[in-house]
Amino acid sequence: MTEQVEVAVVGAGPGGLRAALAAAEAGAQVTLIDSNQSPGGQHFKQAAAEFRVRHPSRHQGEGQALRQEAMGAGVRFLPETVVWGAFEGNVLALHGSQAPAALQAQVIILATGAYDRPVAFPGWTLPGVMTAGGAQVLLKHQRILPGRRILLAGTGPLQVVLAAELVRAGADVVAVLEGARLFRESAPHVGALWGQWQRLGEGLSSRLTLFRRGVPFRPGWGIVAAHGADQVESVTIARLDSHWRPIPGSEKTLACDTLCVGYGFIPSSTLSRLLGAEQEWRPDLGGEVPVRDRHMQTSVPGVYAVGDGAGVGGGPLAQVEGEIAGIAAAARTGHGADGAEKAIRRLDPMLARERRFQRMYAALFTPGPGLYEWSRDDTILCRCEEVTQADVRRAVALGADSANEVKAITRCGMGDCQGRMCGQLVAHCIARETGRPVAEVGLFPPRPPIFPVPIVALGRQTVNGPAGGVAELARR
Amino acid sequence: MSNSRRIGAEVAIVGGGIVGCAAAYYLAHRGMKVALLEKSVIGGEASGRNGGGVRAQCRDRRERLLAMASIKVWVGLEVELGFDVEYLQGGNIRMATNDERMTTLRREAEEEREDGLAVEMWDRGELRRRAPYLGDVFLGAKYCPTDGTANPLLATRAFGWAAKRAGATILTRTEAVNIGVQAGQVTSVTARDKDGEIVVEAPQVIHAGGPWTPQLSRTLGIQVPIEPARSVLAVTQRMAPLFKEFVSSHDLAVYGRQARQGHVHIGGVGTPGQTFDQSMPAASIAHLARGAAEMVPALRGANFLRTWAGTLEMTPDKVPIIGPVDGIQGYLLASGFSGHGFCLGPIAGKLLCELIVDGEPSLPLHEFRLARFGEPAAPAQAREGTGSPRLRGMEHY
Amino acid sequence: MMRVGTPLEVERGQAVSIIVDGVPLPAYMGETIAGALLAAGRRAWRRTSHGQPRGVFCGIGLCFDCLVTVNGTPNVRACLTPVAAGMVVETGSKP
Repeated sequence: MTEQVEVAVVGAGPGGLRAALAAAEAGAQVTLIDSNQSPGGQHFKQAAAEFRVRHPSRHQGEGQALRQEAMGAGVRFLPETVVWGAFEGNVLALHGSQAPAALQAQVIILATGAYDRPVAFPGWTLPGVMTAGGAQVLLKHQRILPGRRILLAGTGPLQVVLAAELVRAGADVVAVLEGARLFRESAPHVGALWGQWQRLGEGLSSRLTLFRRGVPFRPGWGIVAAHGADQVESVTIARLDSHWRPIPGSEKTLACDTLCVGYGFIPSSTLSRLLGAEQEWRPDLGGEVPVRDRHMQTSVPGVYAVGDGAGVGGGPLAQVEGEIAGIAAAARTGHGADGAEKAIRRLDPMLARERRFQRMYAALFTPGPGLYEWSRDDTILCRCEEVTQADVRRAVALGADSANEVKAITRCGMGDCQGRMCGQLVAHCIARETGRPVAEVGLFPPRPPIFPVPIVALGRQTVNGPAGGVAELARR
Repeated sequence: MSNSRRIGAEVAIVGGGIVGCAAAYYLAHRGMKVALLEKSVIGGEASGRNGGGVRAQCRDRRERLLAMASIKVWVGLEVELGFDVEYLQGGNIRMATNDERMTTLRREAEEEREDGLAVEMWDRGELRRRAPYLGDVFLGAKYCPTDGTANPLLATRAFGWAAKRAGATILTRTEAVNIGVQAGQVTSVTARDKDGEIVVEAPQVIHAGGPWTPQLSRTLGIQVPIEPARSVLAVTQRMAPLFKEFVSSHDLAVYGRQARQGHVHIGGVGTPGQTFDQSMPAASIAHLARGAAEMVPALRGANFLRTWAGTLEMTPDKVPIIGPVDGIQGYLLASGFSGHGFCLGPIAGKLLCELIVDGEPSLPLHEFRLARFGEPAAPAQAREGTGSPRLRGMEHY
Repeated sequence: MMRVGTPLEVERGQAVSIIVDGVPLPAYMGETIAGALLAAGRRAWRRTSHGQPRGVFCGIGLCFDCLVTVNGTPNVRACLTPVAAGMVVETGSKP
């Protein structure tokens, strides 16, 4: 059955929650969809519902408050629901025990977030090598340490905060490696920190914790290789040049059982691509993102995109964008159109402030091109299908000139993750081999379902076709 | 045009699907100077999007002999092309859900045996024994042990690479827009790529353009009765090895095979009507899911990972058009494979090569002539062709 | 220990037992299968088709490395799936 709704919001992180709240407050009928049990996304990740936490973090408290506000404003929440496809006429195909088969929405707001950038280097597939985000979820949601002797390597302040949290939780943090050589490059951006008091406070207090516990913080260092038989036992690190290439002769090897890799995020833009939204290649924002106007609307009328899923920029930016899109979406469905422009204007200063921060972040913490040269020919690029860099190069030598062609020949991108882990790795490899810009090489085209969906569920559902008729085929 | 690049060739081939690439390979191997023009990428259309079945059973009688000959080529393809195209002679099962279907299959079996194709009729008990993974809804089947499967993404590309190694010129992202004729003789093919115009001057043209054949053949004044149709496919996550046969049910309107890595492919005809649309309708996904669950009950515990659509080229009698056209010298049609091109591609390529190099194909092609449709192919002045209809949806897999 | 927080800081859900490869494993309601496995000191519980060990990589259900079979259903992501009393988990090679 296809249900008609006014506003459908995909993703209940800070951007989605704020968008849903704003649209509902303006009077629109809003359905908020998320694949998790509770709203919050990664940014506002709560402890497991069955746990009782005496002192939730400030973030977790903020997340709970926002979620309560949204529910209080009458937003309908569909938890444990996956949006697996998008069809003509703003129809979203859903899979979830509490969800209808599909929603036909007048307006769609995509707040699908981002995920940790997979970085390939020898040994990155060893158990014990995980993303910083993965380690953070284990700690925040499960109150479990990812390991005992932990090395963090990445870029940006998030991993410093994570390192401090791990230290406070009792882990032995070996070191924190920062890819950027900070001090020279930071000076012009100091102004962007104005107003970011919470972030500054968090960052400084984390640095202090690390300092007190004697955890080395090394700017301008990166990963050469992870070693171990069946899991990580040690990691070789090296100084990086300004392009992020390891400098030969500077290598050191550190013993550890866990390596948390945090080199930024890749926007989850699959759904916007499936809906036909025009994309642009923005390495400063994490990769491929939908082109948007100042109301956060994509090139597809009635489809908006906000937050990290439309360009990595953090939780507060996602909230501002979400609010703008929520107001615009409501106006589009005939609610609160009169005050909409003024309400959006009122958000301009906050938007400007967060965009300044986003630009600073991008300037300081966008990895250099050398990051994609940490892999060697025998390094796996596609984890699911175990396709190596040598396999990709061979495909290019046979004439493959696009991600899709490499996929056909090597099976890269055909695995369960549907190309999310290897997409950019393969694109950069092809770009290097062919001498073409990454933007031209492109990513794997999205195909529904964008997450694996049970056949029995797909067979049960009836999604109305574009002509409006019931799309269920009678057995002949 | 002032900027035209010109290429001389003995044979120009329009279309880089399995038929065109096989022809390019065999011709280049026999020493001919070949230039192939493909508007997107080699194997990028139906040849790379199909269900991967390679069968001789359940064919129109005219096609049967062609298919049997093609299978002989498939068997030796890995060695010939120097590339593993994952060909497996695992058998083909055509199941029946009712008595009428069984009767049809039995009649077909008689004909097939007459033509030298060994097939077995299975009753319900035999079906349970030989293919226990198939659903209870089937009461019998016809089985052909010499049929099989292969990997569509690799096969055409392998032909293309081999053709290149043998000296063929392969131009991708190059769309043929006009076929030039003078005094009833083909002279050239004009094409466009991102840099402008290319003219291939050749006295022979093989037109293996799939569903895009008619619009280009119109520049010769020829009407070719081919209509596009959408076919749809879905693939599961990896599964433990379950079956090696290609299975299909006309009644459920689905077919399937398990590929080498364990993924199960399920296919069907998506839209019987005429369309070039390659987006995946929600209704088709539901249809494939239901068909899969009934055909192979173990799939009820599986997930679909990916779906895609392709465009078939249908003739009125669902039999291909292969061969010369009255009134035009040097023009060979090889199109309208109606969903059977993957299996027939290798033999079609071989026969086209023989036609050109030896003057005669080793198997008769008379039954496949365009003229059987009773439409006169009147040569006319060369007319400017049109580009292909814009495809919705992106490259597929 | 791998589980963080004194009882004063966090009260976990009810203690339960799940069966992993035939052996009971202690866990708490609210934990994911991956969490319970990691807390028990297991870093890897799957082998790829080339025999390589895998465990948690992305931790948020996108990489499909952490797959286990739960109560007979294969291809279940351990990092997303909450434990339940008596849940039967099988690790090992992917088909």
